[in-house]
Amino acid sequence: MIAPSRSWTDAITNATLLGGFDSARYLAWFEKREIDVNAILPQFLHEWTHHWCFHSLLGNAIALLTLRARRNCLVHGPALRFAIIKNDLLRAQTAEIMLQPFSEGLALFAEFDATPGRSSVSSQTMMAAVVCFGFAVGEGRRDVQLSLLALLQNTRRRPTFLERKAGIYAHAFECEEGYLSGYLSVKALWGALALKVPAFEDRDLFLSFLRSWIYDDPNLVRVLLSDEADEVRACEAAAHYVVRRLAALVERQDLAETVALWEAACARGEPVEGVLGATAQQQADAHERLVGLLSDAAGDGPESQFAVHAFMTLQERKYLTLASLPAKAQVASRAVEIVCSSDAGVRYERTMDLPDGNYEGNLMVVVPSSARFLLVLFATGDQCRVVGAFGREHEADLKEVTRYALNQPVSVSVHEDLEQAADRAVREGALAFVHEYNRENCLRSAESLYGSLATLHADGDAVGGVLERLREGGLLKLLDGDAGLVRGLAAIGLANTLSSDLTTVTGLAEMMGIDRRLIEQTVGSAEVRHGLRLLVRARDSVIALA
Amino acid sequence: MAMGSIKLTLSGLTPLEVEDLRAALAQAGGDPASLQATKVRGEVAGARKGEPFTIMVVLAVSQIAITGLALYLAKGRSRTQAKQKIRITTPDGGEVEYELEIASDREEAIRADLMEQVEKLRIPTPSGLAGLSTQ
Repeated sequence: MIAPSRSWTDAITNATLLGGFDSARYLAWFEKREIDVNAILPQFLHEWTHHWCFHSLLGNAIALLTLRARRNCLVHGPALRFAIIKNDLLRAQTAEIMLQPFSEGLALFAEFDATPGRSSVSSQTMMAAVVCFGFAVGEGRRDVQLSLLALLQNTRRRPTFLERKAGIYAHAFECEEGYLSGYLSVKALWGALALKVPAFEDRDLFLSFLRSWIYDDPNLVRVLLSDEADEVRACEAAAHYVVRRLAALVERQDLAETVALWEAACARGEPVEGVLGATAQQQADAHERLVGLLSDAAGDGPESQFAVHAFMTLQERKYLTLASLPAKAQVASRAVEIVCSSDAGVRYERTMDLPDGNYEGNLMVVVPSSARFLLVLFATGDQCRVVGAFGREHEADLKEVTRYALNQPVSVSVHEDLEQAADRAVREGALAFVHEYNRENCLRSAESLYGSLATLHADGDAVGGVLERLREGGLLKLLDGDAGLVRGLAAIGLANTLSSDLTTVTGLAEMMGIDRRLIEQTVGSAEVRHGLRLLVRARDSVIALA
Repeated sequence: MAMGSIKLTLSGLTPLEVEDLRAALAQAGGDPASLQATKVRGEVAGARKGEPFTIMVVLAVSQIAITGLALYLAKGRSRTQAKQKIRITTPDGGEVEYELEIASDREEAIRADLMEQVEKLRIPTPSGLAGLSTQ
C-alpha cells in the first residue's frame, strides 16, 4: 500500500502520531544534532499545536467530560445512566464541533505563518521545534532564535511545502473538518487584529495569545460545565459563548492593553486567567467544576477505578511521545548496551542500575508540553531509564515521566475500551438521535461563526457570494479555477514570514518554484476577488490576508 | 471504469493537485470525471484530530490517461519531487508498485517511461495503446 500514513493527535488522551516519521534516523541525528532540517517539521508544528491546545484548562475539561461519559457507558451502559451520559457527551460534542475549525486554524497558522518576533514570549510550538529539531548552535536566546528561523525558513521555501499550503486553498469551506474555514478565519483575525495591536506583527505572539484567549478561559469552562440540567440549553449556551468570545476580540477597543498585560504575565511565568477576564472567584469555580468531573474516583463503585485512570490521564496528558522503537538491552555489571531492534545503527552504551540480563523493551523520545526538555528513555517491564536528554532535563519529574512511559501499553488498551463503549452507545438507541440533532445544531452555529470570521475582509454585500464560492470550491473557486493564482497567493503568504517587500517576496517565491511572472500576475489580479480582499498592497510591499 | 482494465493509482495528492490532474486529463482529450478520487482518512476518526487529508486517485490505463498523467507530472510534480510512486493493478487483481523518475519536465519522456512499465507486465494492452511508442 502506497498511501502515506496521516499524522494525528487524540483530543482526549493527547497522544500524537507523526505519520511517516523515521524514528531510527531521528535518534541517530539526536546524538550530534547536526545541521539538517527534518522533513517531518510541518506535521510536527501542526500536531504539537493541537497537543498544546488540548493540554489546557479547556482541553482538560473536554477530556474529563468525555472520559466520565465513556466510563459510565462501559461500566453501567446508557440504559442505566442515560441522563448523565447524554449530558456529558453532548457538551463535549458541542465544544469539539464549535472549536474544530479554530483548532485546525491555529495548527495551520503555526505551520504556515508563525515566526518568532520581538516578544520574549514564545509559543510552545516554537519552543518544542527547537528542543526536538534545533541544531546545536549555542544556548543564548539569539542562537536559539537563529536555529528556529533556519528550521522554519528552510521548510517554508520547499516546493513540497508550498503544495501542502496551496492544497488547503482547494478544500471546500466546511466546518466538520475545518481546515480551510479555520485557516481563513485565523488568518483573517490576524490581519484585522494586527491593525489594532502592533505587537501582533510578531505572529508567534498572535498564535500564543489567540490560543490562550479560548483554551485558557475559565469562563468557557464554567459555561461548558454549568449546572444547567437541560443539556440542549447547556449546549446552546456553550456554542453562543464561543461565538461571543471570538466576536469580542474583533470588537474590543482595549485589546492592545489586554495583550500587553497578557504578554507581561507570561513573561513573568504568572497565570493569565485574570488578564483574560476571569475574576478570582470565576477561576476557582472553573477549577472546582473540573475536579468535580473526577468525584467518582473516591467512590466504591466499579467506575471509580476508571475515574482514577482518568486522573492519571489528566496528569500524563502533558507528555508527547515523539518516537518509540522496539529495542533490546544487555546488562552486565551495570554496563548497559541498548540496540534498536530494527536498526542496529541506533546504539547506546551507558552505565546504569539494572540487574544483569537481557531485556526487551522500547526506546521512547518523550517531551512535555512545556517543551523545556526532551528525554530518551528505555522502558522495559517495570523498569525505565533515561538514556539521553536535551534541554533542562533537571526540571523533569522523573517519577511521573517513568510512570507515563511504563503505563502506555495498558493505558492505551483501557482508552480503546472506553472509546468503543461510548461509540456503541452513540450509535444505538435514543442517544443516536440526540447526538445527531446536536451535531447539526452545532454545525449551523459553527458555519455562521467561521463564515463571519473568514470574510472579515470582504465587502459587506459580497459576503454571501464569497461564502457560496468558498463552499463550492475553496479559494480555487474564488480565484475562478486558476491554480496558478492559488499557488501564487500561497507563496506570497509563506514569503511574508520573512518579508513583505515585493522584491524579496518574489525572490523567495522563486525558491519555491514559482515563476516571478506568476507573482506579478497574482499581485496584479488577486488583490480583491469577488469582494474578498486577499492581499494588502503598498507601493513596494505585499501582504497576504489569506 | 471498465471491468478488466489496468489501473494506475497515485497517492498523497492534495485537492489542488487532483484538480491539476483533472485539467491535464481534459487537455489530453479525456473526461476529468473519469478520475476516481478518494480521501485517505487513515486513523483519523472520532477524537483524533489529523493533519489535512490527502487523496488517492485511480485511473484506467488508456492512451489519453497516460498522456494526461504525463502532462500532469511534467508540468507540476517535476517541481516538487524527482520520483512519483505509482501502483499498477492488473485485471486479475495483481499489483505492482514502482517509482517513476520525473527527471525532466518533458512530457514525452515521462509518457515513454509509463508505457514501458505497463508493457513490462506482459499483459495484453488495451486498445488504443498498441501503437504508442516507447521511444
